[in-house]
Amino acid sequence: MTPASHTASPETVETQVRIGDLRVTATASERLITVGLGSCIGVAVIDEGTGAAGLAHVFLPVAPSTGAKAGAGAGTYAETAVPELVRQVIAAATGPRRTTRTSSRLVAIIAGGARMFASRPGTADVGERNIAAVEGALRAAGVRIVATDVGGSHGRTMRVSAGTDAAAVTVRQVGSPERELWAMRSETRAARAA
Amino acid sequence: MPEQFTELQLDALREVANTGSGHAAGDLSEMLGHSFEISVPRAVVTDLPQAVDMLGGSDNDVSAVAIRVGGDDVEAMLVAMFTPAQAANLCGLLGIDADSDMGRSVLQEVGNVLACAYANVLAEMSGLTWEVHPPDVLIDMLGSIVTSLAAATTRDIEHVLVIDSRLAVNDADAEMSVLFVPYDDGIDQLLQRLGVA
Repeated sequence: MTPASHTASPETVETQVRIGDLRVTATASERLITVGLGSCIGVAVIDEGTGAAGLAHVFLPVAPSTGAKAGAGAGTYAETAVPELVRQVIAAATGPRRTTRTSSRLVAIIAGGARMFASRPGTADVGERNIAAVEGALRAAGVRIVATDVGGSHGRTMRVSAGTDAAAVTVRQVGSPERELWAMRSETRAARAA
Repeated sequence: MPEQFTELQLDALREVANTGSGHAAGDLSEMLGHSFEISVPRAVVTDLPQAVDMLGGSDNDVSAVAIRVGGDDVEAMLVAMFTPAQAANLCGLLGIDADSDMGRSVLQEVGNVLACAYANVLAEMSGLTWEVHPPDVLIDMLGSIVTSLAAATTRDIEHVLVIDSRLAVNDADAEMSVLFVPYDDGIDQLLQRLGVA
């Protein structure tokens, strides 16, 4: 399987997904990238039928109970980011003719949740809590997790390519080459789209 | 965390950084045999993406040493960040390769000196006991380090307190950025102890 970074045309635009952001694309000409995932999680949700893809850069499991949170990006907190990501990917995949079948074609790929610093005694590690929260939210949304690259002690960069031929997810850590975490297989695509 | 700090409160936190980095500069000069100068510290509240940009940009690789200081109720992280070239130059002052275990120890020791200087200053100014915990040395993307630091100390992505100053060796291209990051849950008590609640 050729990595998406090799098959992408020179005109491919990279859209930055900053911390707390959430972006969706349905075309191979736009690749989503998020840089500097430490304890944060990059959550990619992809529709195996159309190759529509979304990426959220999740900061923490849940929003603080006090204080304003209206200005935080839709991708900030796992509990709200995951349902919103799923909703937007379904919308991008189906357009106006929304069908309930689509959610069974969705797959998720997650990366991040590193332990960058020793935690305070008596508190759970943020990265671990983020992994658990994202996995729980994906399970609740009925989305299968097909690949993960989580934990460890190093930050990550994640790239998500969309499109019926190019949908793929790569991850890179400092000092290591970029590697493919997941790519859509053509037979899967044919079966799902049928 | 309070969404807005008063100018008086930001001044008090700036003063902690000013005195802490000042003492650290003196101690580091002694340790390395080269004099250090410090910049005027900055203390601002901004959102997290902006904070990452202010500190140097998400995808830049940095060497960092992070140390937790504090007691039961009031705690902070102290972080020194270098570009790889500046870390190499700093270790070079001692004739040590930054990429070796010895280089790692140098960064740990620089972190310890910083954390001890801040802990002493904070103890004096707040009347609280500040313990210095073991350092973590990291080489990673600035974005990974700063956002993880924020995730550990605050739950509010929209209001991140950035307190930093720069320490530079006078006769070498070796500069570090020093971050003082109080944990949210003790910040009110810290401000109270500093007399600016």
